[in-house]
Amino acid sequence: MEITVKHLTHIYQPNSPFERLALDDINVSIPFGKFITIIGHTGSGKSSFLQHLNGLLKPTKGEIIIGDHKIVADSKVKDLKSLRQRVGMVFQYPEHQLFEETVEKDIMFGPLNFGCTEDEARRRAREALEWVHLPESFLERSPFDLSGGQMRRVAIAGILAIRPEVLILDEPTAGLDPRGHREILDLFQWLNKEQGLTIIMVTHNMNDAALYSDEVMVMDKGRLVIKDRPEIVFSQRELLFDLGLDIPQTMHFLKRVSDKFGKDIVTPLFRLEETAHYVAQFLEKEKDGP
Amino acid sequence: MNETMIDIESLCFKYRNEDPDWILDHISLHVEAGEWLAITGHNGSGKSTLAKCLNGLLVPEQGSVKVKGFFTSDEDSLWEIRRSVGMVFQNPDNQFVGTTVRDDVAFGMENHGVPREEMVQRLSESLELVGMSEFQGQEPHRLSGGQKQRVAIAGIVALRPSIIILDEATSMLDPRGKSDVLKVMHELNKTRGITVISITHDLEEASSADRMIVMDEGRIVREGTPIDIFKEPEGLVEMGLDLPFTVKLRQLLIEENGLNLSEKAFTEKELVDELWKLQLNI
Ligand SMILES: Nc1ncnc2c1ncn2[C@@H]1O[C@H](COP(=O)(O)OP(=O)(O)OP(=O)(O)O)[C@@H](O)[C@H]1O
Ligand SMILES: Nc1ncnc2c1ncn2[C@@H]1O[C@H](COP(=O)(O)OP(=O)(O)OP(=O)(O)O)[C@@H](O)[C@H]1O
Ligand SMILES: [Mg+2]
Ligand SMILES: [Mg+2]
Repeated sequence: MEITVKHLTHIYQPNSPFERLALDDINVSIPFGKFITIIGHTGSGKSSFLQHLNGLLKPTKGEIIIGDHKIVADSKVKDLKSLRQRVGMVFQYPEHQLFEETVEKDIMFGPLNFGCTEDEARRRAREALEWVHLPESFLERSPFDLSGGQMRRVAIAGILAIRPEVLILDEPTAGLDPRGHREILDLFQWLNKEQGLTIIMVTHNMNDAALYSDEVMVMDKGRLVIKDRPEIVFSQRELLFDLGLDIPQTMHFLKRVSDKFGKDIVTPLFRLEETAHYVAQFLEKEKDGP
Repeated sequence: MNETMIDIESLCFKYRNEDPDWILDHISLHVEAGEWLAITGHNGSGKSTLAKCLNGLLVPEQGSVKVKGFFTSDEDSLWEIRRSVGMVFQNPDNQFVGTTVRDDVAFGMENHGVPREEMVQRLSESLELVGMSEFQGQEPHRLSGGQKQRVAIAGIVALRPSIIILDEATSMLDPRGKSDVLKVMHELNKTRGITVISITHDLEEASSADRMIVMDEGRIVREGTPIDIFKEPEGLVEMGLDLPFTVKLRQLLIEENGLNLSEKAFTEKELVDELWKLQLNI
């Protein structure tokens, strides 16, 4: 299920004093099975873009084609329900998505809505809860009486239980503790690599964008500035700084090393182990002298 | 001697009687005026609950919480306590009351009896600080996620409380936004002596605190300067935490690559300086 976006433009509150151009002529195509991350400063249009992909927002201009679904301005999306089944979205704030009395009912809601039997929905709820590393005792809890990170996990579980083909994630790791952060990203990676899900994830964490994605989309003021492999995107430090963004920590460190030693290290490395190894070898070479 | 801002003695709390364990389990903590305290700990360890005990939203079941000398269990003091403690919640939606950004920030000040002229000035100053001036007339729920966090921060800064509690208040900001907001907070901390309590999972952010506590299952299990805490990393990872970038990289350089580095370097700069010396020595 390829995703093609053509000339997508979105204006909020048009013809009012608050009119705001949130997306400005976005063109992009995302092949099936890719892991894409989106980075961009506050208000650059990331969430607005995501919300078009499962029909929560309608374009002001342009179109989105997802498999055999087409979303265009001024006409109803056909088969919205089947679109939402295939394209699952985790919201930026989990509270916006939780509403049932218990965690179990909340996670079961999606599967039931899309035609699963009670038994199957219940089974999926347990499985999804395990995926997000919450104990089974949470099933009976109210989703509103949880800590921020626990709510986030339940919100993610609710979407995973639907078994979408495309997973849309709006800052899914905000509020997770470091272990949860790593576990959830590893889960997404597994879903992508082993289960073939397409993943589109917004993040403010440059390390994650560098480590996990096939391609990074950079947004600025409603426009798509670059879409490329992480090694290429994160080699453009000046541009990223200008856009209020950053480079991964490993790259910061390598830059510091280069400045100190008066060398120009340009290799983009994102893994800690690789970086340590590279620095050790670099020192070795420096020792031997030029 | 500094003035004591917060004095917690053996605080115990649970939300539901049927809970087998305390959510906050015999917490004792002192915070002095002008301090920057970071609180970290796994999801569900009790950080937000502790924060809510500090401004009297929740009251102790056992033990006591004193803010500037007032007990939170004393209802007559709540007004004074809430004036002193400004809290930015984990989800800013829970905090908005006004129909526009401007009203929202003004509302809190009105409640605190700030004179009109001063209100106008503080309003523009605080929105400016977080870069949200151009959104004054917007409805808060129509803002982007990060814009909401900025407005929530402005609302608290405008009140000029003696203590600011940031509960993951920068978790949805872009890299520059985050460093800008933290810079503003550090400045308020230094120049106006505002006490800052920052709850965060970001260990780099926690590393800039004067003091840090680590919570685990409702208890304070570590306390000290960030350097001291990360000097003894044993157990932190088991608690669901991580180590700062420099500490991890240094460990790899020593253990996997056989470099002869000290265990002292804590900032990136210190580590690079050590690498430089290492290279000169041999
Ligand atoms: N419901 C809405 N009504 C009007 N304007 C909106 C609405 N939602 C968002 N906007 C505006 O559209 C722009 C893009 O918002 P969007 O939420 O897409 O940004 P974002 O890139 O997700 O930002 P963040 O990183 O802060 O979440 C912002 O300027 C925002 O104020
Ligand atoms: N309103 C509530 N009713 C019942 N239990 C609650 C309520 N709020 C939180 N809890 C429980 O209390 C414990 C501590 O929650 P708290 O929100 O203080 O954690 P936290 O350290 O802030 O976690 P996080 O990092 O996820 O925000 C959790 O196990 C949570 O499930
Ligand atoms: Mg957003
Ligand atoms: Mg919390």
